[in-house]
Amino acid sequence: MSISSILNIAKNALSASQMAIQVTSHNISNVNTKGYARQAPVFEEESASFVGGILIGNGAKVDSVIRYYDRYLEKQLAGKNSEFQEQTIYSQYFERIEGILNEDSNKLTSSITEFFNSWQELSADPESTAVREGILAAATNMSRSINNIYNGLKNIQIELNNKLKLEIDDINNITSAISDLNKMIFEGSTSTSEANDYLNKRTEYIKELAGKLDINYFEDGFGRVTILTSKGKPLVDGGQSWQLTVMDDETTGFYNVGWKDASGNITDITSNITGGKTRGLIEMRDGQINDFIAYIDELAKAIIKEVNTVHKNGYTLNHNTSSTDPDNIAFFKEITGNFAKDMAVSDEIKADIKNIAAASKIDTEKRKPIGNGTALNIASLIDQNILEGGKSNIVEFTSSITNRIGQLTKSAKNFLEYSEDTMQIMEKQRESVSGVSLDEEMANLIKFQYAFQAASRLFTVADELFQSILRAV
Amino acid sequence: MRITDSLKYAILNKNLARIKQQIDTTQNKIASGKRITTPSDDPVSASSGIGLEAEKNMNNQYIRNLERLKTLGGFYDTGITSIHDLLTKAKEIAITQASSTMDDKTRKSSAEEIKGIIEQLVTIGNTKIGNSYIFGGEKAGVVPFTLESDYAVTFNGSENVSSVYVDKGTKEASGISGYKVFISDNNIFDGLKKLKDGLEANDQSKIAKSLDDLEAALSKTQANISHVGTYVSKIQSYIEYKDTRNLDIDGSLSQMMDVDIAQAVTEFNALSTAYEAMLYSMAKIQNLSVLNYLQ
Repeated sequence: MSISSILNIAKNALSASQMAIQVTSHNISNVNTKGYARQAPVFEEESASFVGGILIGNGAKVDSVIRYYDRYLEKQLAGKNSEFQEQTIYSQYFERIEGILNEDSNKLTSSITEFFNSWQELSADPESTAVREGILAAATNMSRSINNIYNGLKNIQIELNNKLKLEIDDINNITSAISDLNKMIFEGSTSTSEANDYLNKRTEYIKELAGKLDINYFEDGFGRVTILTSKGKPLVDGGQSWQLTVMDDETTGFYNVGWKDASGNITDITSNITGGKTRGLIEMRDGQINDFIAYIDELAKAIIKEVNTVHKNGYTLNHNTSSTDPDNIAFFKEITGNFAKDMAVSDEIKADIKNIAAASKIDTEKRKPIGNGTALNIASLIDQNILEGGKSNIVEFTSSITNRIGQLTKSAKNFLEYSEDTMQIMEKQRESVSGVSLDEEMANLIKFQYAFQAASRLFTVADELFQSILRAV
Repeated sequence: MRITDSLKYAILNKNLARIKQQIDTTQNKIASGKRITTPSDDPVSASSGIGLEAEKNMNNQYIRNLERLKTLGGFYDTGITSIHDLLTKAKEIAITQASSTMDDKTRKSSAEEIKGIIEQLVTIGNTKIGNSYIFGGEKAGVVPFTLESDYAVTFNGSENVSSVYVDKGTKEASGISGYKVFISDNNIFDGLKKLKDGLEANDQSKIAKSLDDLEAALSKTQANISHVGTYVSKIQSYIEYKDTRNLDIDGSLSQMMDVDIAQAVTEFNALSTAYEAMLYSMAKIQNLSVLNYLQ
């Protein structure tokens, strides 16, 4: 046992305390870092040495830096995030669709009743041109309202499709970042503070990835993580990652999601995605929005078809007296598809409102239109069951659309709230294990500071011992 | 459970956001006076609200139609009453001129008077309101009566009248046809022409005979006056029915859609208090740190 070994112990103690203070400061500075798991130094005795047959301690060292981390909790959180992100998409987009389908903003039902009311006006005054102007205005208004709803829904659908592509790009960035982290974790020792930070970052990435796509993952013996899609396609394995890609679907015109294997072959995995943001986007794009577009299309189609059928059998103010046949003029532009998109008043009517028919018969001698039969028949269409295969009338149909979007939005909001609450509970648990408490860190800081001061004191003692000996010489 | 610093703030943040959102919703309710601003607030009420609004819209149209019929009824009433007056006048002339004390001269001048009456009747028959001849029946665009040079009158209108909707699936005739008023049962113009011809021909027996026709025409016209009266009162009661129905709808809509202001304000106050309490506790928590004791 020599005085220099005291110096050695002092040196080791000093560096151990310094390292502990460093870990503490690292914790303090990451108090607000998302996904950070607090770290702690693990002190260990230096191996003792025999001095004169007696085993004497050699001080302490920092053996490793551990992170407080609950693997299972993190895994649950990642899974929950899949659900949460999917619900977020539903809630967000149902609210947008609701905004478009809200009667307060689109005035769909009121513009339809205005339109059919205008035919009643004509029935009361069949000769009037002013009333015909009113019909044209009401028809234009109604068509525009239907066109707007269609365009609004279609724009959301396109937006969903574009977002899907962005998400896929994001997923690729994340998987390649995870594979890089895998490499670094494998290369570095897992017990250093640096490797811990990689692990934190990777955990955060996995959670983010799970929010976008439902995944399965597990770690190998070297701390590397393997990530698979829920249907078993590998995304990350060790230092390697596989790319997802979007492919144009020729029938729908939208993107499908493909998985690229090592040799570049692409497999369509769209229908295998069962969770996360991407699932929300696909489900919304291909399911719900299409339903609503189909409803509004059915509505437009029924109005165009029924009004035209009646109107073509009517006699207009421009009726040619040489004929006894109905004038066969279509009120709405005759279209074969995309009814809601292209619904518009026909060119004949736009060119001359006298082409609007009020009468359903003519005077057999003078061949002039008489009566208001056509106007009455068109006006009565609003009460007839012309929708859902003769099951409901227009107002029943539009109010059922409102009911449907209302229910969907309401339950999406409720689900999201529920999902948010469970997420919050789990986040709390996670924070409770891994989060940084400044009070705790302060206590540790003081503890390590005193240890540092005490170790420094050892130097002085050793120095004084040397001085005494030197003076004696 | 360890409560860490970021957890402390995260919980506060989350709750603040939630309360703020609730305050916003309540504020919207108070400001708009509506309990339901989007369908998801109450899908069932929102959708039945649309149905009721549509019904109200349609009712307003029915009321418009009915009001028009009522106005039209007024015109018919005036027209037919004038017809009655003119026929009474013609009848008086016929009675006077049927007497054997009258001579060729007085009858000639009376014939002129009858001609005037026929002309006035044709004018009444051709009354036009807006774009429609009200006595033309379905042929509202055609002049219904034309006076020939021999004072015969031809009817160009139709026997039937148009109808309009006054309720879902229920139609009501737009007034009364000129055919019914002038032509059917007893042709007013034929009777008057007979009288005029009799007067011109100084034919006492013919004049006396035309009296029967005029008598019948008068009683038909009397019947038409009461018909119009009944028609107008029927329309009036329809209007009242529809108005009441609209009031009922307004009542239901208000019950469904409108916010209970007192309740909303109470809710708003409770939320504001909670919000303030949370801000207060946030400020307090901020001071709870070991750092305050380390100098």
